[in-house]
Amino acid sequence: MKAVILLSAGIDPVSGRPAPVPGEIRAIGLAHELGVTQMIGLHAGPASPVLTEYGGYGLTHILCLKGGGADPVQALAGVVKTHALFADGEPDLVLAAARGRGGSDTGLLPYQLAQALGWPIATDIGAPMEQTSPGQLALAQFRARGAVKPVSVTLPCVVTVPETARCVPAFVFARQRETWVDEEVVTVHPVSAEEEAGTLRPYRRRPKLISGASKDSGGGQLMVDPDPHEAARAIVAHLRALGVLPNAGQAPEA
Amino acid sequence: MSALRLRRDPRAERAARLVPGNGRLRYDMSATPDGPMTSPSGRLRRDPRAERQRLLTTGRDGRARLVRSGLVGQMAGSVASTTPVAKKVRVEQPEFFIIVVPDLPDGRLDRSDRQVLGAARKLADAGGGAVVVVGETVDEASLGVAGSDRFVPLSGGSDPDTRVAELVAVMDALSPRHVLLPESEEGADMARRLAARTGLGLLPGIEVLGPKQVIRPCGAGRQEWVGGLAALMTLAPDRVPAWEGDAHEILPLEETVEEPIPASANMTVGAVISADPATMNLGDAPFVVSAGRGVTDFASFRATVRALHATPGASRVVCDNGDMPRSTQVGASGTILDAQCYVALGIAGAPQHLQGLGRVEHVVAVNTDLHAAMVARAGLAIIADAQTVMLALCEVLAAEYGEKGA
Ligand SMILES: Cc1cc2nc3c(=O)[nH]c(=O)nc-3n(C[C@H](O)[C@H](O)[C@H](O)COP(=O)(O)OP(=O)(O)OC[C@H]3O[C@@H](n4cnc5c(N)ncnc54)[C@H](O)[C@@H]3O)c2cc1C
Ligand SMILES: Nc1ncnc2c1ncn2[C@@H]1O[C@H](COP(=O)(O)O)[C@@H](O)[C@H]1O
Repeated sequence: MKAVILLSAGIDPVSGRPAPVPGEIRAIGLAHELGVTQMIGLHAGPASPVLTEYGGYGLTHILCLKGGGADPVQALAGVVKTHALFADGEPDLVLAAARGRGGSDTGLLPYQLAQALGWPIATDIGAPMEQTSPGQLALAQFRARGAVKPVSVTLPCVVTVPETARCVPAFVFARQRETWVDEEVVTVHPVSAEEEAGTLRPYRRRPKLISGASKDSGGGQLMVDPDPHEAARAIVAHLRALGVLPNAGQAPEA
Repeated sequence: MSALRLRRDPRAERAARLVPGNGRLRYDMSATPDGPMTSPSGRLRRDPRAERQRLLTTGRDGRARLVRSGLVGQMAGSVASTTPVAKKVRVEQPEFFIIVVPDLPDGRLDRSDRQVLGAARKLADAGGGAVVVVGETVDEASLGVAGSDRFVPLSGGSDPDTRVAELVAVMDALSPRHVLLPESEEGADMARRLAARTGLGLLPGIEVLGPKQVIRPCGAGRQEWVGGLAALMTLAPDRVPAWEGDAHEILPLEETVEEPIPASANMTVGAVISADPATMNLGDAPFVVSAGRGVTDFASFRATVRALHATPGASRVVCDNGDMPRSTQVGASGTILDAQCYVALGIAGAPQHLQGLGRVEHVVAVNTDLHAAMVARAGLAIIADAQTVMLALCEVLAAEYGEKGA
């Protein structure tokens, strides 16, 4: 399989300096796990030295589209559709991070690109699943508390990878030095979209609404030197009231 | 100042308190005589008991409360709104629509769904609009209490693109001013799919929502964007309060919604597979049972964890001793939990350990020491030897599941 990894110009949330985006690093790892043989990094914007860091994670060829930053969706879609990125045919997969880091951080670009290409998009994919039929890709969508949803999607498709995915490839500095970053000039005609009239200012932390759930912390029920069985039954009843234990009727597999 | 002071007439006052009846003369000394009582100096006497009675109301939680700020009428109003009274707010000819697409896990509105409805209510009430909930089947009474005016059911397939097509059909029929979703996993995905499909502006993860402007973080959380409202918006959790006012009535929708053209599905999403508690990541686990130095019998600890279908954890001393793997350590130098419930067996509750219980809501402690910090943090505390309690727990659970399961 051949894959395109979308790379954005990310920054580090603490220092504010240019840094790779965690989701994009994991996208490289997911591509490896899916058995991708050829991959290329695409960035809509001018080349920057931080992009070579992705090379250390195994992405040794990166193409930058200078002048595509004005309308990245159009620039990226045009290149994926018409450019001979790979010697033998079109890419099967486009991988991106679920959220960027440092721009508007909306996570909208992969969806817009999928719409522009007319491909399906599978989101929050953290791992591959057992492949069942050819032409289809079985993937695991990561959900809260370690839960997983099986997703089956037809190729070619766009896949986004969350920061919680555990497929981080190893970093090899020698590969970073081997990385070559090409720059190509593209011309896009930015749609005269109504400019989002807003202002940017430093983030101010605001208090969240207080969760009404933590009222029982401290000062609860107390049993001093109970009969062990009585204590065990009290614990089971308490856990069941909280809903963490399944009811006795629906016996788990055990 | 009046020079003339009224003289008290003790005999007349006493006669006014006489209780009618036969036999002995009886006086009711607690009864107030007719008319306001005046003191010998001519000032009105206060009646503290009657004043207290006037101020007494029943609060939201059903307990007696004294309202001293003169808001007795309002208090009574809020009491009435919590009891099911037939009086409901009807929004009949709305100026505009605001669509809310809740997540509805298990077919019920959850906390973030209610908050999105609260935000929609705020925007709708600013200009006489109506809030339309679009979703799979849900109990209409709870929708009305949460502040919704209309309900449009969806068919509820497993393919997100079909759901988007249905939502677009509803949006075409109503041409809403705004569409609001929660910035939860499903809501965030749906909002972005809608934005890509319709080309409308999207503002995700809003933290402050006003009638004219919104604020959302951007730039890796180092900056915030301030600007006007967009057609599509998602709300970050716990930022906007849920609707607290009077319940609204769900009226039938006048506009007709066209059936969307079925598109070929090139993506399917299956049902959720929850993780195996025994092997899942400790930081994600919903239910953790931990051992401290009070636990000496680790075979029965592991059996208890298995019987409870929990994820095992441990304090640092236990990991240092090699009784449990380092990956199970809970605390400042281990894992910070995101669990719903935590059972601490023989753990004292050192500050470094309690730091690991950051967001845990419910704690159960078993400890021989009544004054342990963990016992103070617990909702249920058992002062007993952990070994015997673990054995009893295994027996109780085996009896319950064994009999019914076999
Ligand atoms: C820099 C630093 C970082 C640390 N980070 C962590 C961390 O990440 N996580 C962590 O856990 N600790 C951490 N610690 C250690 C921490 O301070 C405590 O030493 C440790 O948590 C104590 O573990 P414990 O409660 O299991 O043991 P103890 O403090 O020995 O408490 C044992 C408890 O078991 C009870 N008990 C005894 N016998 C029984 C019985 N038969 N049945 C029932 N109860 C019984 C006792 O009453 C007592 O309350 C850190 C310390 C430092 C200095
Ligand atoms: N200019 C760009 N060039 C290439 N990929 C991009 C660009 N902007 C965003 N992306 C990709 O889209 C993801 C989500 O970005 P965003 O929509 O900005 O949150 C990023 O992590 C990248 O994978």
